Amino acid sequence: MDHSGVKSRQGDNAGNPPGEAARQRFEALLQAHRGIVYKVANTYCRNDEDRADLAQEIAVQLWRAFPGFDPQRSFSTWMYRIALNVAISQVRSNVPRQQNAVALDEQLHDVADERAADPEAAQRLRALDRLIAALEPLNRALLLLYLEERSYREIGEVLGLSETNVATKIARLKQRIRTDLAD
Amino acid sequence: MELDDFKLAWKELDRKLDRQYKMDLLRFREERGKRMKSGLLPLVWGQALQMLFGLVCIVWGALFWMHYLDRAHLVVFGVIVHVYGIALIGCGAAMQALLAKTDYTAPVMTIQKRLASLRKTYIRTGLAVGLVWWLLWMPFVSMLLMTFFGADIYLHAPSMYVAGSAIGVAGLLATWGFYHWSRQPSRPRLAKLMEDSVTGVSLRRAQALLDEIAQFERE
Repeated sequence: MDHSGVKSRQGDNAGNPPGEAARQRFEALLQAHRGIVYKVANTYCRNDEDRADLAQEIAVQLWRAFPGFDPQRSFSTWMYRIALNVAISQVRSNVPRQQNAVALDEQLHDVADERAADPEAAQRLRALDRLIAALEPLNRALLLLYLEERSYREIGEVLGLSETNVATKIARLKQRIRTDLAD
Repeated sequence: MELDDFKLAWKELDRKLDRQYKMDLLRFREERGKRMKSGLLPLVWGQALQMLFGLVCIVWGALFWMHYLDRAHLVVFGVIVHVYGIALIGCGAAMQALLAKTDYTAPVMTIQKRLASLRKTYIRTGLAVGLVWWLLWMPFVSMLLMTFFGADIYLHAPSMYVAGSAIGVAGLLATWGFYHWSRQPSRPRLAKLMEDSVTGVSLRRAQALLDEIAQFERE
């Protein structure tokens, strides 16, 4: 479980009002877990503008849902659920726009120099990009959580599947990747 | 390459994204409210417009039938438009309530299934609301003429309503029949054309989403 920095909703020790205290807690948590937002946005969007929009939309929805967040539960699980739900919903309504987009690895400007130094890393990134692009939105969510090394239980909690079901799906995903790469 | 080999690339990507993105996620505090790029926005606006039109129908219909209580046919026209307005608002409000209850903190499968069903219901409701115009045009035109020109066409041309009703019912049946006929497996191109033009790409896409979710669950 990940309860990083979550306190009660009754204000803080510095005497700030509850609303302000909640805002500060939220900002601290968002800052600490910003990587989740970036990675979800990158997994579901294929150009910079869409990525920035999606990241902002996720942040808005996180803030709206924050009053209902139960500090006893894992913040990252809660965050993954919201981020993935927002991303999948948004990507579904943006299909034509997505098709004209630039590939992920071409957008990573600062990666370019490093590619020259590490062509293997660049190749791995391109392969990852192709893999993400080839998957349907729900399988992308599964892949993202697997690559994030989340437990099957947490993946199940985020997606709404049983642990057994998650294990089966990951096994199928592995098989599919093996088959695709062999072709 | 195996799936686990991608974990290394994922970690590289993680590091690079964090360096590359100087985006201030908290900027949303200033921007929220100004824009909401949610995919559900068209649904929300569509329902809002529908409800506004429903309100116009209710007010107009009620004022109309109350004004002509001594003429049964005009009361019927007014009540039809009034009821149509209530139906529009009822459907819109029900949909808005479902949208408002969309809880992104629920598991992904739950929410995605609910949203896909919602889209399908929304599109089907839209179709129903549109198809009734095969018949609804008659009370509407009658009320317009009565309201703006004081012309009661029912008194002068009652046969128009008989013919209009017959054409309307025939049109509804023909639409329904043609839709089902065109969807026969032996006519795939016509079926696709119908899906795109009559029921719209949206309904097909909503159904495709539900199919995709169901397939993901089965796999």
